[in-house]
Amino acid sequence: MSQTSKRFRLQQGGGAVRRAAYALLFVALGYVCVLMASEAPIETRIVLLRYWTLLAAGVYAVAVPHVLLPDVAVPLLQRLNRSPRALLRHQLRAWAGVVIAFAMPGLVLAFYDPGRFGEDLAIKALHLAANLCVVLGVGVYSFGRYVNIGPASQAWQEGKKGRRYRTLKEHSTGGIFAVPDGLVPAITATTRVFGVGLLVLAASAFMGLGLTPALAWGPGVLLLGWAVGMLWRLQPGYDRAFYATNAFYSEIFRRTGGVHVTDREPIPYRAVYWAPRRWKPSVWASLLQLDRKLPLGRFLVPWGIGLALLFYEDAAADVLAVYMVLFMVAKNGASYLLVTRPFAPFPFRAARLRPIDWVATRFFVNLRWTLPFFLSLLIIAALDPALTLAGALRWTGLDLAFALVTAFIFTYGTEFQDRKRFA
Amino acid sequence: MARNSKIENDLHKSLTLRGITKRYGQGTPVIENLSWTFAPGTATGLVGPNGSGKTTLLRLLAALAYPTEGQITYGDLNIHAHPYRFLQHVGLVYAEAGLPQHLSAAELLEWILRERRAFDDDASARIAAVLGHVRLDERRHNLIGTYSSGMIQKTQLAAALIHQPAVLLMDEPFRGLDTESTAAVMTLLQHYKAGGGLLIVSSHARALLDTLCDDFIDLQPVAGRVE
Repeated sequence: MSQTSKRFRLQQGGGAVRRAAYALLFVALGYVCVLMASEAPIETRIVLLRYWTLLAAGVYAVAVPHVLLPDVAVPLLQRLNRSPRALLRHQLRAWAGVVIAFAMPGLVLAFYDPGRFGEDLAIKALHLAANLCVVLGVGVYSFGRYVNIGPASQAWQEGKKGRRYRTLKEHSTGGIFAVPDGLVPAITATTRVFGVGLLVLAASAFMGLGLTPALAWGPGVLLLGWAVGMLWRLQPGYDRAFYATNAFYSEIFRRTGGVHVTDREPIPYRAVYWAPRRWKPSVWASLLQLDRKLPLGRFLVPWGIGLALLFYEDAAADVLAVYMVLFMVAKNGASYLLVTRPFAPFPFRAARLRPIDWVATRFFVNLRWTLPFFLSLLIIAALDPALTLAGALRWTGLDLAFALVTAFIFTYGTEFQDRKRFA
Repeated sequence: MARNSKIENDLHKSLTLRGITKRYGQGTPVIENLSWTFAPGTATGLVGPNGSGKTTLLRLLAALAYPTEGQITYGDLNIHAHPYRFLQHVGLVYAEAGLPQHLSAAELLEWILRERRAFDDDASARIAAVLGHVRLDERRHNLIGTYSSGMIQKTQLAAALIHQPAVLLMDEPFRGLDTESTAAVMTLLQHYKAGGGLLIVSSHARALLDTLCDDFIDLQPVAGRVE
């Protein structure tokens, strides 16, 4: 065998289902952008590009730990003993998928213009490039903030830092400070990343309004350069950042020493009122697990406020449609976690229920927030004539369809893979 | 030659724990103020009941967990500040194998050698030899996804040993092995130790540890710990 006779590649878990989920996200984002961009005048296009940048910044601000940490490939990476630079490349490659998924729709927003492709081409390209720089800058900055967060998070988790927060927590009521201590630095990072994104976007928009729109590039380019410089400085000691951050997230998400069941109030069995008796135990057990990894409930209130604001601002129907569809993709897509090995290893899963029962289980898991979703729409419909009762029912029906389709795809996708492996 | 002389140097380094405390969250420490020196050419057994901190200690030694207080050094190297440099000298057997399902054992070992820049003209022979030592039969060319738990364990052992590490960290290495394979692995580990290797092993197979180990760290659950 020669030195170069073979190339080995590190494969992430999840394989085909992960790729299918990624393709679904990519197509969904592309489709909503086509809806929004179709026949939009140049002024609207520029505003849409800003909305899109804001959305991407929001996603990047929260997504890094959920996508990268803890890395299931750590044992293999240790055996191979990848260099600091290779570890950085490994994580960047995984993160790039998310960055690209949310960066590419900008192309559609800027250039999808049936019959008028050539019109205002330079302005479209200029604003796309300016926003793309901000999007990429926030993506890289968020990555840089999170991948090195392990030592600070561990210090908070072990009580070496955050005394003031713990005092507030002890004296508070109503679960305002329900976040585990170790995740406070991550929340700070989220706020900082989104704040930086917001500021840079505002600066870019402000400069774009002036006499020299070319300057709109400036803030994004500066942020991107700064973020790349941050990674460059991390590179020599990246092994420490990688292992320390993975160690912390492994403790907090997976190990017995991490988040204890008492850190978050588990959902009581009787609270799973919407699930039929046949699937209630598996729905309850699934929700217990899901809440410990990704508590969706805390996103619901900000989502409702955002929706009310969009109606209050008389946002375009396309913008509202995008907002709703993204919510449904996120809400129902979260159940993908339930088919991954840590949540449902194949032998356990196969022994418990038939695949069709798992589809039903995940469908009812997806329905958890459907009633609050419908009620939010009804409240908005009562206050704003722009949303009718029929409209609220239509959106709820679409959410039900999303819930069923994702449950079906995730369950049977994983089932097919696992049966092939264990056959 | 240069590589061999480097390994020779590594074989004379000790792994030292200085005042190690590990706490999960703000509860009672799992390990408290532990100091110890693991010398080259010795095997140390980590023993104690379930939940006493054996796996936590191994995770600390493998840079998979970071101590709350204290430090671990390999020679002069702080292993948590420089995990990449430390892991160059380390072979690992994990409690959960975490091996790629779509490679054969032989391919996995080839990959490890290539990544560690140790794949040379003799590499194929070395791979065959180490797989022979752990008694992984002709199925070494089948995909790991088709292996029994014992074969996966043998693959882990071979993967830990293939790059001739100076330090071996092993969590339950005998789990799933049949009598014949256990004896073969014991012989392999005795040779490793006799050659100057530093071996740290956690296992409930006390009789095997008594044969293999020169020293023991007896960990006990700390009263009042939240599990």
